[in-house]
Amino acid sequence: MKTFCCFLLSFCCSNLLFAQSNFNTGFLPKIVVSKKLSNKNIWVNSLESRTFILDDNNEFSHSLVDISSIISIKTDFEQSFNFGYILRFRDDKTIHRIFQHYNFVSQLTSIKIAHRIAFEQFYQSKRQTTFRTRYRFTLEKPLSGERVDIKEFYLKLGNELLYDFTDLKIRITPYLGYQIYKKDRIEFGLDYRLGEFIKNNTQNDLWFRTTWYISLN
Amino acid sequence: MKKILFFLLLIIVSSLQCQEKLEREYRIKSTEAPNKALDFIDKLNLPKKVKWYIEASNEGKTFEAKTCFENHLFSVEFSEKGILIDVEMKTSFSKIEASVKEKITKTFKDRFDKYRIKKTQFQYRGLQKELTKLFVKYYNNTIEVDVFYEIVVKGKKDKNYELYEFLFDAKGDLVKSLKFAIPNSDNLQF
Repeated sequence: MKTFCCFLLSFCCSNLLFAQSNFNTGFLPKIVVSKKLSNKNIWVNSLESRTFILDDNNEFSHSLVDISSIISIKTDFEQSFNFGYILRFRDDKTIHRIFQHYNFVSQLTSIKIAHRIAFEQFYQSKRQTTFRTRYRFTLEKPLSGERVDIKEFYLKLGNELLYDFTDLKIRITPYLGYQIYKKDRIEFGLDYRLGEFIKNNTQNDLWFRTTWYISLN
Repeated sequence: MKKILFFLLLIIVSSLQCQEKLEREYRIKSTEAPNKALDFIDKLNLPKKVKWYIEASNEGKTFEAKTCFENHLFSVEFSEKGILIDVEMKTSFSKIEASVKEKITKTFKDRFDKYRIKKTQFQYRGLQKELTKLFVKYYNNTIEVDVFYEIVVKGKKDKNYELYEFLFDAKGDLVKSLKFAIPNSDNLQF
């Protein structure tokens, strides 16, 4: 736990130190509610908002709200295909996103690892449809024992690459999670995003993320 | 008499049916382990660090000392009073004797349409003196212990995959099987 807090602190400091004009920071709260429809299908809905603490003009501002709905089809308990839709409200614009995910989760002795390959399509009025591919690797390590049990903490580390056929984005996400009840867990952590990588106009974003996972099964 | 026999048979059959395995395992300091258990582990002079856990399941509460010895993960299980229950060694399914392996494989084939072995452990039970010999480097003589095989299997039946833990005796006969609750991975997917 101490190691994780030190890591978060040093991570924040290092980012604030090298932060230049194209650095944004803020909050990313998210709630994810899942409901089992059958043995193989889960319906997942989420609500996420984005608020800048410090934007390009050094001002506090609200950025966007995402509402998503996903149907997850399990091929077995380690693999699944997700088909979803995200409705994004950003300023006065509305962006529609459709996506397809392939997930693979495997349990090692005490670590759980997950791979996610995704393909996304963005639709917006008066704009051309855009596409994006992404790959995410996530690792989950319980801080006590070999599995995450109720009232136990765990570490979750993720790394994601996003490519929209013009530029590359990288995300690094260290989280501290807590299994509240059998069906509820909460995660706190950072979501560091490095954008405009190829165009050499690097954009740094650091988000403080909180995600609450609720299972209604 | 017939009724009693039928009742007994019903109990045996129902106990052999798959029960749901509920476990909670958490790390503890070595000082929280029973003294008897600590003494046993200390006397082994194990080269690597020993981590202590409590495992609470629907079968009760036990203490476990986990370590790595000779490239195998070992888990020594004790009762609440520190009495040695068994020693488990993580290994691969291929290490099981061919005839026994064949019998176990047949059990899986009969039970599932499709299966995959996720974890194999040799479970040793017997006298403390004999079990100690498992931790002696290059020990070549016979160790008089009872061997069991604990195997975690991902099995497909009626188009559904489930996770099971099987326990087989040295001959490959099924002793018990438990169904695992499949862990929720929503936070790794969404």
